[in-house]
Parts: sequence; structure tokens; C-alpha cells
Amino acid sequence: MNNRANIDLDGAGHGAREVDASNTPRAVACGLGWFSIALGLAELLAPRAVSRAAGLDSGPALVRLYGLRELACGIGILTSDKIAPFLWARVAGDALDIGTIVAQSNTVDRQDRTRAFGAVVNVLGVTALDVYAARGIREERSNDVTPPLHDYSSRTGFSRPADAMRGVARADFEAPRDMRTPEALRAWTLPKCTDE
Amino acid sequence: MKALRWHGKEDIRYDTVPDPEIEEPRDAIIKMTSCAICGSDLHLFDGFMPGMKSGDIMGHEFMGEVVEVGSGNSELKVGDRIVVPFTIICGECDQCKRGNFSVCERSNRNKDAADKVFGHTTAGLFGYSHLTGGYPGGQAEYVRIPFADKTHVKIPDGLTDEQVLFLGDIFPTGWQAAVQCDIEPHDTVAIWGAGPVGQMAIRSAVLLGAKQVISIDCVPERLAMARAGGAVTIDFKEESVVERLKDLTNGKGPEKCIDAVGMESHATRSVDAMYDRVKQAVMLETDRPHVLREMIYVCRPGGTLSVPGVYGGLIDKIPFGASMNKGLTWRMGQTHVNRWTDDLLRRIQEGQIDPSFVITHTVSLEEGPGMYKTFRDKEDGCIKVVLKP
Repeated sequence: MNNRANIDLDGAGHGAREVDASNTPRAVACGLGWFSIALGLAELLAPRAVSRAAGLDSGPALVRLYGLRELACGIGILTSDKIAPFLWARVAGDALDIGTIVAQSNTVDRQDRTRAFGAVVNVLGVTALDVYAARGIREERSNDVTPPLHDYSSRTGFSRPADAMRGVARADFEAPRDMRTPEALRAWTLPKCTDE
Repeated sequence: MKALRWHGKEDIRYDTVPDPEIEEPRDAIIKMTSCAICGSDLHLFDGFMPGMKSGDIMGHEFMGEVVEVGSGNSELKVGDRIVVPFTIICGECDQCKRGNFSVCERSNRNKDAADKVFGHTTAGLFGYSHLTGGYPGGQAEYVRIPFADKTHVKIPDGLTDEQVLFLGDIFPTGWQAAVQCDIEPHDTVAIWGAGPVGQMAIRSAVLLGAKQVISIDCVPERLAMARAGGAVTIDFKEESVVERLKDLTNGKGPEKCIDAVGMESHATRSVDAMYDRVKQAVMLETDRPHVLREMIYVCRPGGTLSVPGVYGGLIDKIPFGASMNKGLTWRMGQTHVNRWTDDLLRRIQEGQIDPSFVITHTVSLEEGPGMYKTFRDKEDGCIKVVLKP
């Protein structure tokens, strides 16, 4: 996968520049989007393994539900015009995850307690990123449209205005037979060279 | 001599290499006077095309002055000024005789490898991997031209390099893309991609009489240049391509669609584009065919899809059922450059069109490596880069 962060996350098409894949809220949001998708797939496809890793004592159904939630957030972040709501949804989901881990972790087994603690720490770290990205996107959003860097609006390439050149080649160019629709397949109800 | 060489993904270097020599009687050696970076070079730059080896000389858009001619070449002489088509042609095989120069049966000296990958070989190309013959490319001070008695376009006096350089690739490529549509005067032609080939396709479609030409892209500079060429534009980051095309065609869709984007399509909001990225990341898909899917969907039933955009390997989830049931015609392929160049050269000489409009950056060959990234990332309003020795 190439490294260009060419997903314009605000969807407003601001400017011609592509997103700099470094320390910006948008870049973090992009990463969180892909993280959501990866985590969502893991929770959907391997719920028991995810439960064990988090030290949870719960069935697969709940983890799969959380997986659907993660996928929805990830797809929303990566494809939506307005991504802030999906980032805040992730923050709410993080709170739910922490609550679930606290409520349903296996406190009897020492290893599970350690895993649960580690899971909570991880979720808190991701929560910090979610909040950073959500707040940063909101602050960066602006009504100013970045103008294009260069003005190519006069570069017709033609000797006359484009409309005056329309059809000029029809007078002296015939498409070769192997690039023409066969006569028998042409629209036989439509007279030639007329508008609809 | 100096040349731009590929050393891996995103690694192009300005190296010193041995001068080329005459190897076959039909060869010629030219001293390059101008060359360009093509959009399809970016597929090599990004590591999407197989068959490249470290040290391969890049470049297939170039021209120059003949400085040496092989003993079996009676068509060229020292001092001739030629544009070199990116496809190498023998002029004698069955395909060349039919005018299908981009699938010449003899010019690919690694025919066996191409037969395995594609079923049958296509023409040898300059600077475009060992699958196409492993020929050194034209981003170099001197270039050997195999089958040079056929693989050339002679340029008369009175025309600048900038006016004719693109006769070797992007101008005939855009022209063929439009010709493949078999344009009628009542047609709407929708063109995905407003890069150099898309820009040439727009102007070709206008010259061939399309009632309406629509250009789809997201870079403001490219859209502005497209409008200058007579196109109505759609910025796919601002609005739905499908809905806007319906608005522009009374709900029926364009009759003709051109894919001037190819394998590295990067529509940003669609689920299928995300799907392609994920599959490509895990190497289950080599190309990203978002544009093909969209064209199939929006094209008017009975319409034509023209594909000059380069694809290299495998694509996934193509709505072929929609294409079949709508009775779409597909025409595609690399450009049969020499089929069109006499006519296009005449149009340039008569002043109908000056392809130099598309040049936005001219730098030295030494600065070429840095321009690959500039061109790919569309920085500084870059649309087309010309390199001078």
C-alpha cells in the first residue's frame, strides 16, 4: 500500500494539496479509521481470542457486536464527509469497552487480571488519540477554500475557443473500421448527425 | 552518459551509465533533446508493475536527433529529428500490417515471459520492465532505437520539441481513446482522469465532435485545464459523480466513457475503493479498478467504454453482469501510436492544436528523480513534467 495519505478526510476538497501523513489530527483520524476496521474484523472473526486477550469472562456475541460497532466507525471515518461524529462515537465506544472490561473481567485468575489491566491501559491510550483527533478536526475545519496554486484556465491547446473547434476533425477524419460500431449494431432508429 | 535509473520502489537516481551502441542493423542511436515523465511511469515508481530490475533506465516519452544509424536502416540519416513512439514496432508482422502496432509480434525480445503472463506477447516498450523486452528507456542522454526504420516519427523544421514531444505517447493515446468511442455528434463523452492523457482525450473528443465532454477529477488545476479544453467538470470530492452525470444527461448516462486513470484509481469516499486498498495491501489484488466499476454503472445502455488507462494484473468485483445486460462495448489497449501520428502531426502543423499546453514543469534531467514525487503527488500544480538533458 502506498504511503500517500490521499484521503481528504473533511471531504470538502479543500485545495489541491494532499494530506501530509504526519502529525496532524487528520492523519491520526485516518490511522484510527484503519485501526477500527482491523479491530472490528478481529472481534467479528475471532471473538473468543479477543476476549481472552482482554482477560474477559464473556461470550462471543457481545464481542462480535462491538466488532460491528468498530467496523461502522472505521468505515464512517474513512468514507464520510463529516468524520468528527464517528470519532466521538469511538470515544463513547472506548468508554463502553472500559466499562465492559471492568464489569466482566475475570478477577479470580491473576493472568486475566493482568490482561484486563493491560487492555484498559491500551483503550485509554486509544481514547486519548480519539479525543485528540476529534477535537483537532473540529478546530481545523474552516470555511476558507484554498485557491488553486496555478491558473491553467487559459490553456485550451486550441487555436480558437474550444466551442469553435468542436467537430473540426469530422471533416477530414474517419475512424478506422476496427474502432467503429458495426453498421448492423448502430442505433437504426436514430437518424445520423442529429441531436436527441 | 547520464540516465535516470530505477532502483526500487520510489527510488529513481541520476546515474552514469555506458553509452548505447548499435546492436542490430535496423537500429539507430539518438541524442535525446527532450523527454517527459508519463503517468504510467508512476506505476513503475510506485512498484506496481512487475518485471523491473534495479538499474533499468526509465522513460518512454522522448525525442531527439539521430547521431548513428545501423547498416540496415535506410529510412533515417544522421541529423534527422525524430519523436520516438513508446511502442517498438517491426512493421512486418501480421499485427503491424493490421495497424495494431502496440501488439507487434516481434519487438518484445522477452516474448516467452510475456506469453506466460498475458497469453500472447505485446510490443516491446521503452523503459517499461523486462516483461516488455527490458529496453533501456529514453530518460537518458543517448538512446538506442530498435527497429528504428519503423519506430520513429520524423519531425519537420519549424516545430519546437514541446509542440511535438507528445506525439510519442499521450497525444495519440488521448486521440485513440476518443476514436475508440466512435463518437457521434449527439454523444456525451465522460472522461475519468484529468491528467495529461485525460486532457488530450478531452480535446480529441471535442475535435471529433462530441456534443458534451465531461471531465472527472479532484485537483482544481487539472479541472481548470479541462474546462479550458471545453469540458464540463465534476470534482468527485465535492459531489456524487453518478448523480451529476445523471443531471448532465437527462438521467440516461453518458453514451461514451473513457478511463484515463488506470490501475491506481484513488476515489476517496467509496466502499469499493477502500475494499481495493485492503485487498491490495494483502496482495490479493494488483490493480484498483474503481473507475471501471463506476463507468460500467453510469454508462448508458448500449454505450461504449474506452480504456486507455494502464492496468497490469488482476482486478476484483467487476460488475460484469451490469455490463453484459446493458450491452456495453469495451475497447481498450495500449496506443497504436504510428496509426495516428501522420494525421496528428498535420493538425499540429496546421495550428488546430498545440499539445504543449499540458506542460507545467520543465527541469533538467538531473532534477528528474525529485520530479517523480512532485508529479505523483500533484504538488505545485504539476500536470506534466518535461526533462531536458
